[in-house]
Amino acid sequence: MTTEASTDKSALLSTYKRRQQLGWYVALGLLILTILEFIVSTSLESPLLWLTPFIVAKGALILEYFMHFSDLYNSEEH
Amino acid sequence: MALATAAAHQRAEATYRPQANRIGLWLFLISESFLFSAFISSRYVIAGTDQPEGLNQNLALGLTVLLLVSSISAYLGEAAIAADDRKGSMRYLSITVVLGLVFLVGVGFEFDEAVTHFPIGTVYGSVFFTLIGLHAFHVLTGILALAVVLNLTRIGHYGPEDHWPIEGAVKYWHFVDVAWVIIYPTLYLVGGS
Repeated sequence: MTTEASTDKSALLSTYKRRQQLGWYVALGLLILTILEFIVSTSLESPLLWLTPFIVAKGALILEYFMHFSDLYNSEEH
Repeated sequence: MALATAAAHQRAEATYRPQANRIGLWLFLISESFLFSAFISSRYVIAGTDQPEGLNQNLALGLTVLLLVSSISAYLGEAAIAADDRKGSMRYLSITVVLGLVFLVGVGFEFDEAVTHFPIGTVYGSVFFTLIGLHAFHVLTGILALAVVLNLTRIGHYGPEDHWPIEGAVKYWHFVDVAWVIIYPTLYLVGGS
């Protein structure tokens, strides 16, 4: 019983560490995209088209990794 | 006795159905995205891609980074409660609330400065203040939702298996962030150099 509980705890901790690491990677990606987006907008006269990929990429990163959008159709629970 | 137990079980199931709750929240967020889409598109219809002088680019970039940082702290708050780290969850949710408040103060400064360059009655002013105001209102409601779940966490609610309210509030916060990801270039960047 104690072994089972400690295994559960260590599994939770390992998932937590993995999620933390993933979160920081996504945050770093978002930061880099934001800076690039700013640079693109300040160096072009009409940057609307060039900004679109940045907007889509940032939105997709947040939707998938922070909001877990794919869990909606991957989850087995109904 | 068996009937009472079955009824209690049914009640518990009705109040805690994460997947159904998730679908409900996503439908709500989709309906919210229509509202934001209408206001964002109005910027292009009314003002094209014109951008007035006097937009505080540094402040807007700072606010964007602030909101992104608040998103990672909200994410970590949710991940912490899922790992049974109550203190960690409270710490990260508190950071998110504080960053949200700082964001609102920044928006206040932006309003104060912007109104001198393009008053509310002007074409760009009406688009700018409506869109920023709508978003700021959502930030405020997000802060309130996070404050409520933070307080409930403090008094012992929620655990690794039962933290839907935290997940819901955090998802709403991320939605506010996604809205800003589109609003920021729409108001500050599309005009170019």
